[in-house]
Amino acid sequence: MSTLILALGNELMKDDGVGLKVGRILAEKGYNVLEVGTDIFRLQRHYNGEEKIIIIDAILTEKYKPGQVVHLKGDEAFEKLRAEIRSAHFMGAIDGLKLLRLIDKRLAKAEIHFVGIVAKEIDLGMELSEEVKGNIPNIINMVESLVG
Amino acid sequence: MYIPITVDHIARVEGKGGIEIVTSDEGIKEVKLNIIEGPRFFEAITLGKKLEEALAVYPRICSFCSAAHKLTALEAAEKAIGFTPRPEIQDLRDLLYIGDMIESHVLHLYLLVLPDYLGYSNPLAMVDKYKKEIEYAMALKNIGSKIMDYLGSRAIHQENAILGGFGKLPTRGQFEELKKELKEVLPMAEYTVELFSKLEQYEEVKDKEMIHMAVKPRNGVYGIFGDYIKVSDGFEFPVEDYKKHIVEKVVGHSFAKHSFYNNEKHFMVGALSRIVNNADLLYGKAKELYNQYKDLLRYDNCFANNFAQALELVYFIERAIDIIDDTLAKWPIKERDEVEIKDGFGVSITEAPRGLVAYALEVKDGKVNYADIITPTAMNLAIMERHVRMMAEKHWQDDPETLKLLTEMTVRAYDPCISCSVHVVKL
Repeated sequence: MSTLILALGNELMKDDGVGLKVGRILAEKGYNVLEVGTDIFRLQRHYNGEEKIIIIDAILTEKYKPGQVVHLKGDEAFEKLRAEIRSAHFMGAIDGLKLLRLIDKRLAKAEIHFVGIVAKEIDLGMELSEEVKGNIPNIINMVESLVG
Repeated sequence: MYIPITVDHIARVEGKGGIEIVTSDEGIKEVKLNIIEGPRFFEAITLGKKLEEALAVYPRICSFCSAAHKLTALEAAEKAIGFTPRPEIQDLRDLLYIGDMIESHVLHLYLLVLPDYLGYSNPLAMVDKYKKEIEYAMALKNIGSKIMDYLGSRAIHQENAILGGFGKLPTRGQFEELKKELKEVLPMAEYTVELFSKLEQYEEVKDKEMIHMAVKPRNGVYGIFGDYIKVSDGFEFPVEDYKKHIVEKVVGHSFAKHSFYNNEKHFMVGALSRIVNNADLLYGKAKELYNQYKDLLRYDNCFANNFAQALELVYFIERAIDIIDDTLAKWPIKERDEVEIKDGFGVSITEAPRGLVAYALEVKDGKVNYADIITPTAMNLAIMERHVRMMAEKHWQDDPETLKLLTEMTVRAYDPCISCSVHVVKL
């Protein structure tokens, strides 16, 4: 099954950049990675009909400890994730992806996985917190196992 | 009795802002646009930095208009060090800027403004019934992004435009690809004009005293770069004199300053202001459409800004095709010239999608010694607040939801860019 890994986030905002940093490691390992940053709509122009989409992004939650990884699949991702602050300036990444799925039948059929890394600090700065940085090997393992 | 009506966070605008309206039995007591985006100190953080380093920082002010900030800062820097880019390089910077203009306009029109008029809370809810419109929006947005990818190296925070020219130019094949795709989306831009020609421009904010400010474009072609500012009252001034005529003032309820023309008058910047001041410089299909619809491009109604953006979509797509044709006719083009970083002071004011953006930079010993930036939204805030008040005065007795919607629509007509930079999701 062909797979596209989407790296989301803003690397100027500390832990919000973890998706991009993980995405770059995976790209170096030869995986098909698209950095969308804060603009999920970039996906439409670069999408080649991949059957599996794996989204990597930071999340804010008090349910889990910083650095922990949360995996959501399919509809569960759309139901549980709520865009808190708008990317592409008006719409969260998850809503943006919903919109793209409504206008692209191939994308609508794709298997969606969301890999969220619990952020500790979302503030100006380019360094990840120790908790998030220390768990990057596990995040990589999880994404690699999802690629299959 | 005083009743406050608040919109804590204006939806579908860029960044964090709110509206606060206080009514009493007699009518409106107070209207405030609360800009709650935190101060970001971009000028201060670049002081003492090497010029090249500072030029990489400025576009971070906004990911929506990063090309506008990059190219305006770059022009101010090149003026400061006494360098003038070759005309063919300037044309390609125009093209990069046009990519930003197309992307920004189309997202504003289709995803921020249109849901209000069609009765939806967000674009996602529109897709079932208005799939074609969303598809057009995505196709138009994509060509804007692609231009920025090819000319700027990436769609956001481009680093390829540098002192002296560009780091690397797209290939001839990439220019030809852009031209082909621009031609393909042109009918979608024309459809946008037709679509927005049908939308109401609310008379409640009709304001005969409106003043518009825009760049007087260089070389007599409607566009983005220029050395003078035109005011709709007939006055013109060189960009270097901007501080004499655009005066910023601190207001208590906003982290963003308000700007005044000649210290006292509210003024507007943006697509409508460009049309009001420079419509005679339009050409091609955009000129035809302007002649057909000029009654909808009224200087006295900020809602006409939406239609002006639609018209500009057509114009800038045609203009981009022309620039590519000129570029290919001169091909191959040398990507940059050597620059010597000397001490000096430079001012650039350009037309960002939302209107004038001003940069003044002083360079000393290769480092930034002084920086001053005024963004279009800071220029528009004072008049925007006035028009929100006018709307509120007409509808203060309506139900609060109607009042909120109409005042939000007034704000959205200005396409404000309050600026956000963090993006996270909450579980």
